Amino acid sequence: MRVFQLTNGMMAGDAVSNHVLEIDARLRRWGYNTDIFAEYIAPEMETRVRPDTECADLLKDPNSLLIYHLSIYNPNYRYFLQARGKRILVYHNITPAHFFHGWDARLEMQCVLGREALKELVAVADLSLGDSEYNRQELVQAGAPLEKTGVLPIFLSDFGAQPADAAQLRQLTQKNTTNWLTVGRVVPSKGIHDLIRLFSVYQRAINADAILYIVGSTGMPAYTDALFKLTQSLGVSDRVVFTGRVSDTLLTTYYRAADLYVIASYHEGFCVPAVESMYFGVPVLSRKTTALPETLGDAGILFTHLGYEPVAEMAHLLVSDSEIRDRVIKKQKEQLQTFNSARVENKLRQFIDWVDVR
Amino acid sequence: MKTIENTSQTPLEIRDPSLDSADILRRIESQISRRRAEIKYPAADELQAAWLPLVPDTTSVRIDDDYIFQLLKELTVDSYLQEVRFSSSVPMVGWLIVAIRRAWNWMSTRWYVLPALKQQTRYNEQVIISMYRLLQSNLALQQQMDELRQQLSKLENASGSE
Repeated sequence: MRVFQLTNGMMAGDAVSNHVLEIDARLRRWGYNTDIFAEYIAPEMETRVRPDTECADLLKDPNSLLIYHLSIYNPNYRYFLQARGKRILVYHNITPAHFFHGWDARLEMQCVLGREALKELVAVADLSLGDSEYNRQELVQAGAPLEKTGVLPIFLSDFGAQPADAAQLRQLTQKNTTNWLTVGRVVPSKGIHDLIRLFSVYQRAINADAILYIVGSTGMPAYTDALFKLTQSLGVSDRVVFTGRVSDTLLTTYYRAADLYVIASYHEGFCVPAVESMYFGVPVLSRKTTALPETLGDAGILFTHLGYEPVAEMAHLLVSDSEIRDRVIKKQKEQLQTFNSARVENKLRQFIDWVDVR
Repeated sequence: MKTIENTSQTPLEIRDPSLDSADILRRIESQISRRRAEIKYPAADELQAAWLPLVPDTTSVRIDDDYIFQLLKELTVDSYLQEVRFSSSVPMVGWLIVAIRRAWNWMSTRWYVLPALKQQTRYNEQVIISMYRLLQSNLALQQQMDELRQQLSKLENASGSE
């Protein structure tokens, strides 16, 4: 059986792209002929990934298996509907469109269409997999038969592969500032506006020597401009750093330099940065929403709503009380085992076998 | 001034049994009382007021026009252009016809047609997004008009009863 994977885009440093490559590596090891297709292919992926338009003929083979990764709307989802072989849908979640309303019409519409496409995809899939239980439940809500759903966590095996940039790390840590970190796209659903307000309470009332690093692409100008204005009106514009998208080396550097990882996001289907923080031994303070309690398990500290003062004081304890900090980090390391590559690999094997024999 | 009276009011949830959550919450409460007494925290109103004016006014815009939305959805699917794949039902030499046509198709498509298809797809996407934006503004205007009508009707009723 030939196995194809189809996705929106493939690029280095992207969690879904990495997941696709990890699945591909295992399938090859198990003796399958494989191919990866995507609409957007970054230059570094050109030797490994083929344009999605080239998969149409191959999908006519009834002995093929197509694994489709849905993380954003892409018209190439139609290939999944047309495929004559077995079909596995891997759902990485699509942010509800309302978060982008008024900020970015393109993204808002893509999210609406993506969730519409989801209903069509689950209707024809032999198996629909979420990368968290939360995502699996969304698959069921979209119409997937319960017995045809499962959870396949994201492969996270390349963590820590990139060394930190020593010079940059020195620069970030030598001033003895308290470094707050958040990683991800700078979009309204990530609650960056809440995070900045929370940070301003912490910085102004508790610890003046604090800096908030917001690491991630700032591809939504209206929202980013509003955030700049917010930092100015709260008097923290010199304490909040928007780095934009960074290399894997720099990302590792920011994690190594971080004293605290804060998640104010309203919607996460899994949250890879939360797991990265656990890996790098950074205590996590997170909003209790969507898949976050599941990803964190009993680790980290959650907040159910943004009570600025208690949450800021909790942040202070996580940074300043070594006993609490050490226990939180220890628990996070335990939780990390949930995402052990061998476990994910076993699950993948079971799902492939399940589809293969039917 | 509102304070954390008991642990059930706190937004914090500590699930790790190795942590003494009651003690942590007590310490937090004590710190809050101290810093409030020193007027250290920014006022909640200030935090709210700093963000609200920056949020786009979306109160009167909702995607509720099912027909146009359905149309846009179909247009979006059709906006994505695909190259044609050849097949032939001619016996014996069918494979040769297909092979020649595919070879020609590969040459022309890869270097000439495919970029044009992508460009057209992008163009179509932009047109659809523009239509979607127009739909949004239209719905917003519609909503505003409804509200103005209601206000007018109230004013008319009030002046009539005087």
